[in-house]
Amino acid sequence: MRPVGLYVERQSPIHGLDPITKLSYAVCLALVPFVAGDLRITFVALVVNLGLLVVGRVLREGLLALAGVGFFLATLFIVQGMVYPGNATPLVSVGPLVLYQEGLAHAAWLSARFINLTLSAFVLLFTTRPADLVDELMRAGLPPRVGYVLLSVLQIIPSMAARVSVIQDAQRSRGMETEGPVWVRMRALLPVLGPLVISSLVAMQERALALEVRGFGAPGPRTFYRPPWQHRLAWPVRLAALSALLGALVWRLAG
Amino acid sequence: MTPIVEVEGLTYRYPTGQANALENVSFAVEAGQLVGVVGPNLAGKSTLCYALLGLVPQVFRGQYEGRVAVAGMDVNRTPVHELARRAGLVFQNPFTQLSGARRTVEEEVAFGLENFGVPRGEMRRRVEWAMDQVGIVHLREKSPFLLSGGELQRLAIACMLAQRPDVLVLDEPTSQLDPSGTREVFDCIARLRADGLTVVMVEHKLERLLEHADRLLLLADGRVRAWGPPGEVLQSGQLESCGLALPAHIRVAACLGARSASGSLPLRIEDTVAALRVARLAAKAGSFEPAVRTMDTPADREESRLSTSRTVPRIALRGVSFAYPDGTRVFQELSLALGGVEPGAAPEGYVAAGAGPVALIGENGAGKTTLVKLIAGLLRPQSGEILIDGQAIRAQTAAQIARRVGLVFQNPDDQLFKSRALEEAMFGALNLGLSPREAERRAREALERVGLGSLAEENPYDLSLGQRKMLALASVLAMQTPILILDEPTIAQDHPGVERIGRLVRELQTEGRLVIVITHDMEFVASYCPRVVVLARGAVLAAGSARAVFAQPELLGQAGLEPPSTLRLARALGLSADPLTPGEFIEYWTGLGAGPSDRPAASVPPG
Repeated sequence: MRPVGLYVERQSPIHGLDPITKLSYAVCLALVPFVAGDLRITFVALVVNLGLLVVGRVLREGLLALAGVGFFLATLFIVQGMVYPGNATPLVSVGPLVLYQEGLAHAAWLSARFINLTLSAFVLLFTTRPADLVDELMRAGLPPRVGYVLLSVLQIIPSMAARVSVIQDAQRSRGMETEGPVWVRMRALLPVLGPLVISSLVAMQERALALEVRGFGAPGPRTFYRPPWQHRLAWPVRLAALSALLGALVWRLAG
Repeated sequence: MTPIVEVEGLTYRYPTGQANALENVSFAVEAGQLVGVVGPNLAGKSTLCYALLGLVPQVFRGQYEGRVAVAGMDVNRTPVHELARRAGLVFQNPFTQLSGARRTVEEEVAFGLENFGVPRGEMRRRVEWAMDQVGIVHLREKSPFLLSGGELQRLAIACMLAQRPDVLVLDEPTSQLDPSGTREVFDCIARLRADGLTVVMVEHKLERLLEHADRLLLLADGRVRAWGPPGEVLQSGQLESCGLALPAHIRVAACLGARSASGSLPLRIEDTVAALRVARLAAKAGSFEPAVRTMDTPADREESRLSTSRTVPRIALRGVSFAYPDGTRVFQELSLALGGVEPGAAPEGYVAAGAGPVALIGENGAGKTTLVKLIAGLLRPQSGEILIDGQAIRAQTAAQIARRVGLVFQNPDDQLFKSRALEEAMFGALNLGLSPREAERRAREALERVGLGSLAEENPYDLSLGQRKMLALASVLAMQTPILILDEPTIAQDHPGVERIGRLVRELQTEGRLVIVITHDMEFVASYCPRVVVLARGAVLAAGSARAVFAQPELLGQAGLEPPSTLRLARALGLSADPLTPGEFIEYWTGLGAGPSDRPAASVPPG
């Protein structure tokens, strides 16, 4: 059963860093280009993020995931190249379509910030189990009920996906065809979704009972089975990320 | 001593119920006792469990009268989370007991302790202890979602044990466990009771319960039919009149008029052995007179009249190897023939089970379900070939194979989705391309066969779990496949339900269909499945006649199984025969001219 999310199981210094520190880093580095408002700073942030993906041994996965948004970026270049309000200098013409230098430069600027934001998120998401992140947020004060909902969604989605496969098997063993043309697959939808939805509702009710018996409604402070995540570089990294953000602000104000 | 559980005049009706689920129920449990709650389906057993934890009425609402107190707390006035500090409940379905929010088994065990704010050091000790008690320490890093049914059941118990309750309520905690797993759970409960734990346990496995319980509570239609020490409840005859099956060794003792030293029916198999030894001495003294009126028929004798041997097996697995995508290897070069071909006549390299209904037995995780999924085409082997009636199935879809192989899943809720039982029963037949009229005819016939003829218009989700399992069976029966595979059909069935399935297995055999049953119920195998395949860690340990296989206790031990209790009885008495059922034991025993009987005994129920 594959867990929800982008997490890649690896051994690396980035994987070992605590989720809150990585979250702080991701938020700060994602904001740096927006605050600095300078393409050069944006490239520096991009290089830092790519470097951390290398250190985290997830560069390949990161670039593959980035390729997934390639279509969106290509559209951005075409649209901005054609209709950016400041367009003045034609650069490329393909038949009736003309792409302008100003529009393409603006698209590059937008794309750089978008890619930086995405890579910052990747540094966090590819190296952090979602459950660990929510756990640490709860430890930091996220209400337990909110944390539970987030965690259970993360766990139950893959479990439901696995259940779909079990239900499909059960229906195939009653002669229901699930392979073949689209209409055959469409016809197989209800016999799969029906048991999935009904049993999920029943399970939800039973789980609610079980949670009561397991003290979920108990008042008072909760404790945590896992010890708090401690890393000697946690605070230095957090401070460095914050400094980068402040530095970007100073750059903006000074510039 | 002050009771730790007090139930006085408890009457309860669910908000949507037409009748009371519990009616004037009263009993009291003293600290350290184990109370077994037994009864047929829909007796109110699970409702009683909910009531002991305050879920009834606090969560379910409905009409509530009477008083329930647990550990001095009135469950109607104390919040459930407060009660949960002193009392634990292991639900019938272990999967829904999972928090659904924890990544590993050990974190899942700790979930309740985190909620109660238990300090981490103490929490770690309790988690280790609880996992050790139920034997799941080796699963600590595994995802709870990847556990088998048996493993989940142990995890659910561990979760409650970690909360260190004074009173533990268990709703059928061994239903998914193999015999050795069941024994381990009962042994664990016995150890905990020595530390003062009070246990209220709903359980169908009467043989184990009678060995361990201090008191039995027999419920039927929400009312208390009997309450007291197991011996007294047994003696009252109420268990049988409520449709429960007595353990095989007790049926033997009852029929032979053998009694324990106190004059009551023996509760444990050791007591039956002792009573029969005394009886044998009495017989030698010349006082024996057979008291048996009717006999049940062991599976192999019944089937020997019905089965015909074939030259081509119905199902042949030729050098089949299979591993799951995560790398877990289940079968390696497995060659097995099922249906028709006798062990001696099997092609070289094959293990054959022989003619007649086949039971696939083995401990949890032995590969039983994987094997039948391969046969049904739901899984594909990495190498080797599977043939049905001599024809390879490699190129066929599972839906095409379903024309010849009907597979009834263990969990009916994986299949049911229609709003009427009749439509549900027609689903498979319609998939075969039959006309609606013919599909309905077959569906009605199948519903009659499983005892749901009068419930054809009901919504499947208004039926009990046992009935839903019967409905899933009916929907496959209506397809009239030459091969029918039943995965754990007796779980959640009361005794009449088990007997009905047994009769059906025999009927299908007489119709020339091959029936394969996956089960942990050895008494069912002894009565209805003359052929057995024993699986352990993906290998066939033994295959052949049930009698020959059950006569090898060491082999069964390797597979986490144990022989039927009449065979254990015969072994303990040093008999040379291998009786599989009470009737066969009695026949042999009376043939020896050994057996007491100074009073008439009841007839032996079949099976």
